[in-house]
Amino acid sequence: MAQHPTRRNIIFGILLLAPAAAAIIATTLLPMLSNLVIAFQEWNGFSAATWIGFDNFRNAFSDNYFINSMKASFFIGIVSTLGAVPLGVLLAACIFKVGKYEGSAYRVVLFVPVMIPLAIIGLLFTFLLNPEMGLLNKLLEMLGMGGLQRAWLANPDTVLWVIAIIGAWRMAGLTMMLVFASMISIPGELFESSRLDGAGYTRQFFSIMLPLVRPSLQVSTVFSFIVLVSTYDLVYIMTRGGPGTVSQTVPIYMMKTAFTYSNFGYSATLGLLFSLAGILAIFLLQRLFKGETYEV
Amino acid sequence: MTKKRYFGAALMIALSLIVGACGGAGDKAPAASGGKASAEAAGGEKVKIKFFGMNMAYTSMEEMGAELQKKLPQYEIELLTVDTGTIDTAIRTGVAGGSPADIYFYWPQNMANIVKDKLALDLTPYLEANGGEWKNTFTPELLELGQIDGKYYNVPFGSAYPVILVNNEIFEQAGVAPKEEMTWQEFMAICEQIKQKTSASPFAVSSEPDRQSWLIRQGVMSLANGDGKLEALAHGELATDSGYYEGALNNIKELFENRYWYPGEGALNITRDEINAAFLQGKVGMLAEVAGTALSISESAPFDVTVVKWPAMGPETVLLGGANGYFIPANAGNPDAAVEVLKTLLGQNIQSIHLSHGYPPANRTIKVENPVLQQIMTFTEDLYPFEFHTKEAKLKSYYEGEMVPNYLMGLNIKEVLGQLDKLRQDAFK
Repeated sequence: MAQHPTRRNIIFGILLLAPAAAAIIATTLLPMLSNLVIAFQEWNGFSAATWIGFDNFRNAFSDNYFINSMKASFFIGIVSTLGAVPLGVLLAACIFKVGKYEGSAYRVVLFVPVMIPLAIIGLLFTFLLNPEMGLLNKLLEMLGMGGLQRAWLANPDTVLWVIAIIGAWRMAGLTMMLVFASMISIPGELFESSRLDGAGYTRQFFSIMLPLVRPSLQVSTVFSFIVLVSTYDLVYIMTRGGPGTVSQTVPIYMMKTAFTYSNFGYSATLGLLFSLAGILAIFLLQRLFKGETYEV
Repeated sequence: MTKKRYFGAALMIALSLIVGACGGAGDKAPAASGGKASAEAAGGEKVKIKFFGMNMAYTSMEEMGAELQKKLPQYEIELLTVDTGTIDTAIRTGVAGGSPADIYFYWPQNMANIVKDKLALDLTPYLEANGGEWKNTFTPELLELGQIDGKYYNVPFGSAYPVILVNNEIFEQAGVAPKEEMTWQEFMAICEQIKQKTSASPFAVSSEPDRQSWLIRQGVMSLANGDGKLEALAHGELATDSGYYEGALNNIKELFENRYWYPGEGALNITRDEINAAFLQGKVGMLAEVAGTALSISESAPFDVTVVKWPAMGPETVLLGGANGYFIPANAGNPDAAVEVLKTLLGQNIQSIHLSHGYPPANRTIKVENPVLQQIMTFTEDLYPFEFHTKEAKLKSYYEGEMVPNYLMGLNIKEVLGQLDKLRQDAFK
């Protein structure tokens, strides 16, 4: 039977939690509230702010830059997540089959992209994708596929795809790690009995592993989507939102609106609308994963 | 105690911690200790000066920075590197954040949007003190560029305008000779010759907004000048259906589509470092660069270089730009100290170092004797530093960074120019 904590323990617990709570309130809650207020104001960041009601919101819905940057952000978020999650699951399933020591080596190697700072990844791929001397175009040339050579980051048809693929490559390692952690917690008896029933690894994967790792899959999908849809640094390093504004994501447009156009109020509105759209997308994602859950 | 009370207690402790943390900074003196501070803080500590002005495109910067620190030992000068492509964001972020640098690099002729947002300090009292002692050290034409409504907001350190560096070897292979002045048609004919007869790309200009926009800005200025409408253009009086914008855009499109612009399709994403490296490796026939760096690039090239004027889309070349310079932000911690640093930096001793690296200074007490520099300096007769788009940040961002790429990527001319016209009208209403 569980014991009730004593008053002393409760006070001690509160004292322990207070610094963390203070940090969360100061760095998350207060800026959010401040952003909410600024979103209804016209403020250039220096002079006094003026209350303008819903004007910023009305402007946002007719602002093509905002609409296009939303499209760019969600394109990157959706395509990258669609690439990262299946790839991560596939990698986890492959590593699950290999031995303990080789598996840990593979896990480290495949998790490395998650640990590399985005700015470094951006620079690395900028070199790889350089139209003149980049590795990719040189490789295509060597393989006799010169016709496929592109200025990958300067071509409006390829730039968002390239960024999305890089995003998927980066986040696949995280899904792999989370899903693999779930896989190793599946009891061995389930595999043994299914093997006796004649199930191969593919069948085991779809009928046993995939349903049982669904909670981890949900977490990694939502997390990957949040990280990728709000991409700023990767895009900024690689294209600065270009060519033109083709790859301008909402965070880049927000930065430009605030710090180049000195329109902090409107930038806050854009941030608020973007957050609401993101929350809605996450809600939909969670609905997508809703269903029977299995416990082992 | 009920759960609500526990929660309330936790919230109170958390809030008191926040308030404590926020209030903590109050007892500390600001880094640059007040407006009229002495050079050394009360405790004998050196006053810190944040100098956001190290434009590393100039090879002289490091030496000048070291000399500056040597001459002003009472200050601890933090020398910060400038990226001209993101300078606006850097300035506005710093000023809005309440912790600006004490001195910023900026172009005097582009100060309108900075001054409009009240971000710059009026330097007139400092310049005119002691019978204009400091003011008289500057080349008047360059100093005037930073004057708005009779007040000086920027002090120049050198002239800055685009020139074209020619690789003489590539020109020779292509069977063409460099001409100091050329029309756009002559320029395109040379590009075609280089493309046909050599393995090099004809022309390179980097994709950073402040660089690639040289094509449209100087093209439109040259075309408008042909009809005597340069001043009207500068005052934002020319509508975008005047034909000048469309003419210049179509010329640029031809340059891009004929693959004369290095490296072809990737021209809209090429950096300054990449094009400079390509030029020095002999991969590019003509390189667009600022006049200030022309001598140092030509001296480091393993081939002969000729410096020529920008091609004229109209009857004659009109050069944009004017000068590079510095301003002090309106909310700088220590304006007096910042002025002292600027006076020393722009004084005869340190500017002589700038000249020894091949850059013509704005300090008129220094004599320029290098013949190449003297030739480049004659180009200033084509300078016209006033441009309509610098009046407003959104207009500037669109005209410099978006309009040309949008058109080259297939957006129709009506849409491209319609947007420019809307921004122009908003800026000048």
